[in-house]
Amino acid sequence: MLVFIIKKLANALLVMLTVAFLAFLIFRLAGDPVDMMSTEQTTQADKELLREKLGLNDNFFVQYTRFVANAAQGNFGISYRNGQEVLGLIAERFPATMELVIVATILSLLIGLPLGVLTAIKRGAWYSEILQFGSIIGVSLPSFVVGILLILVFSVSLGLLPAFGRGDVVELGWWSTGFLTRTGLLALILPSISLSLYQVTLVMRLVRAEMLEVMRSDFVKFARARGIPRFRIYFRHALRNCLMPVVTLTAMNIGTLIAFALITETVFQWPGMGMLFIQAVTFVDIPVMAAYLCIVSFIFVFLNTMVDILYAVIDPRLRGAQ
Amino acid sequence: MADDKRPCLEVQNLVVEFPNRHGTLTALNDVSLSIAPGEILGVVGESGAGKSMTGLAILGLLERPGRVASGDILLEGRSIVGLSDNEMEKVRGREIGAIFQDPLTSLNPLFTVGSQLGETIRQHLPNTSKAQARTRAIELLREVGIPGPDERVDHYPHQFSGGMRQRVVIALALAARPKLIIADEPTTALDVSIQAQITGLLRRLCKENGTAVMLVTHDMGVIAETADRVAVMYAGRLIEIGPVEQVLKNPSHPYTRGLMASIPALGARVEKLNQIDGAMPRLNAIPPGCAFNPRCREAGPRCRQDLPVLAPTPAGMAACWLHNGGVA
Ligand SMILES: Nc1ncnc2c1ncn2[C@@H]1O[C@H](COP(=O)(O)OP(=O)(O)O)[C@@H](O)[C@H]1O
Ligand code: SF4
Ligand SMILES: [Mg+2]
Repeated sequence: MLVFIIKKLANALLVMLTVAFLAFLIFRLAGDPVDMMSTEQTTQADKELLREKLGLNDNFFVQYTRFVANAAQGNFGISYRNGQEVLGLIAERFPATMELVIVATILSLLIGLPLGVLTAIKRGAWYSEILQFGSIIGVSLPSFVVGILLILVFSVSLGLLPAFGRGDVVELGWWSTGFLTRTGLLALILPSISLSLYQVTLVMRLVRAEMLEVMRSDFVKFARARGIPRFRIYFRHALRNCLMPVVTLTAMNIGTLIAFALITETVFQWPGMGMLFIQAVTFVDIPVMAAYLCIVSFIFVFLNTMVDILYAVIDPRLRGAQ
Repeated sequence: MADDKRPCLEVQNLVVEFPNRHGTLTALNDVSLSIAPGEILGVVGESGAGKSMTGLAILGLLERPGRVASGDILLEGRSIVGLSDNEMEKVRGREIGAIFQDPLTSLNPLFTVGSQLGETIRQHLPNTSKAQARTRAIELLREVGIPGPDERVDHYPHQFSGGMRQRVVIALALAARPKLIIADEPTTALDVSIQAQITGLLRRLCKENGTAVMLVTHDMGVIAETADRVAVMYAGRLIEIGPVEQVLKNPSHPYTRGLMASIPALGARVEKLNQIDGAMPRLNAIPPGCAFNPRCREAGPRCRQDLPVLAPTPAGMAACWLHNGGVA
């Protein structure tokens, strides 16, 4: 088990070093940072000084190592656009994105799991067919369309829910939360639904497919032959055997959701990392872009590794396997 | 044990159908058999003959759209056909236990054997505490011959060998002391060297507890060693039934004789029973008259027209015109 974990961590480290390398390349290829930071009045001597100060005269490998060392400590440099610490900028936006993603994930499980079980055990019933059909639409509708539709119906026509922003937030240390105020919670509703719709349908379809598969398995047949009640079989024996792929999908997709949040955040003017990234792109603010890339990748890799380890915890067969 | 002569299980003229787009497949046709308390009935026949289907029909586990179209199944005189799902859940496990072919896949890989045993015990004996169920689970594991049951009770299925897992499955089937066990090829998936141990164990436990058994197998050797009576199935019908010694020594139905001839020496085990020329017809292509007639060396004109029904023979009952007025 320990060897298994160490292997997974080494793997994760390798992936992160590669990502850092790519981010670093962006720096190098995007042109001379000294030119970008300087104005017409900057003298050649000033430029040299800056170049020396930024370490741009060192060789490639030394620069990469320094970049990795700095990034590992959360030091991504200074924004070209407004001269603020990049990490600070991202930390400021991070809670908004994460709260949106967390709520969307919870929604996708809370709705997707029961619907998946229902459509599997009541296969052929009219409501199962409708849900199945609806899920095809859910998978294929682009999330900005969903967002705009939700805004049209619930904000513009009915005037029930806010169409943009986070509402009031409460500061808990460096974390700003919208969970503690009424306006904050209301503001979360439409964006999280819009962001989670695709996830809901994915989870539902996955659970349905897995349930149908597991329900055909011999141990379910044998559990029925032992006289175990149907609902216990569905929810204890069958569903538990479906959880592995669901855990995988959910955890991996938190990364995808963070990426997707970019669109949702734009539609709902949600002040998260996605919006920050979009702004960074418009201003060619390389340090912010590189930091976003590294941080989102880190979340991806972290979740993947956790999933692998969780696997071993959920499934006793994998525990001894290594 | 039963204080009267009432059979433990009676299957009466059972017909199982699978309706589909092209019509109706009759998987079991007019099957009648009975098993006395504590008796072991062996059921043999080629693959596809309807042996498993008979067991599933008794357990009420026919896959949709399969259904009991007519006939009856009586458990100690009470009909269990058409019971609701809730009622059947009280019959399965409690009154009828089951053992299926593949011990490797019969157990849920995510729960310890103790938790699966405890679950079954507490399901059927609701007043049992968790601690009592655990004690009972250990006792059951000991009964089925698992060494170190106090430790093994907390192990997961994958930590057991195939033979040991089938012992666990037997413990699960016996957990609530059912009156009847349906064992569908319980040793087919196992290593040859441990097959005899498992059937021996099953026989001993059922004899000790007075449990009746329907033992499905295509191994005549197992039948000879284990069963009290034997039933032979062919193309969804029961074609011969009688006490083991008589039927094995003096089979009446040409198909049963073919099965016997396919065994090199009685007691030896063969994988498949298809040593008779030709193959069993598919359910949608059963010939008129006796279903066996295309393969039967003794077939006469009558065999191709009229369906033979079970009639008394020296060895028991057989569905063959040879024993019921001639084939001409
Ligand atoms: N779900 C099903 N639908 C239609 N026919 C089936 C189904 N399951 C089994 N059968 C048919 O029922 C017959 C009996 O099968 P079975 O009882 O499994 O045979 P065996 O004697 O080998 O156990 C076979 O011909 C099989 O093709
Ligand atoms: S009824 Fe005729 S065809 Fe059928 S087994 Fe007897 S002799 Fe053969
Ligand atoms: Mg079978």
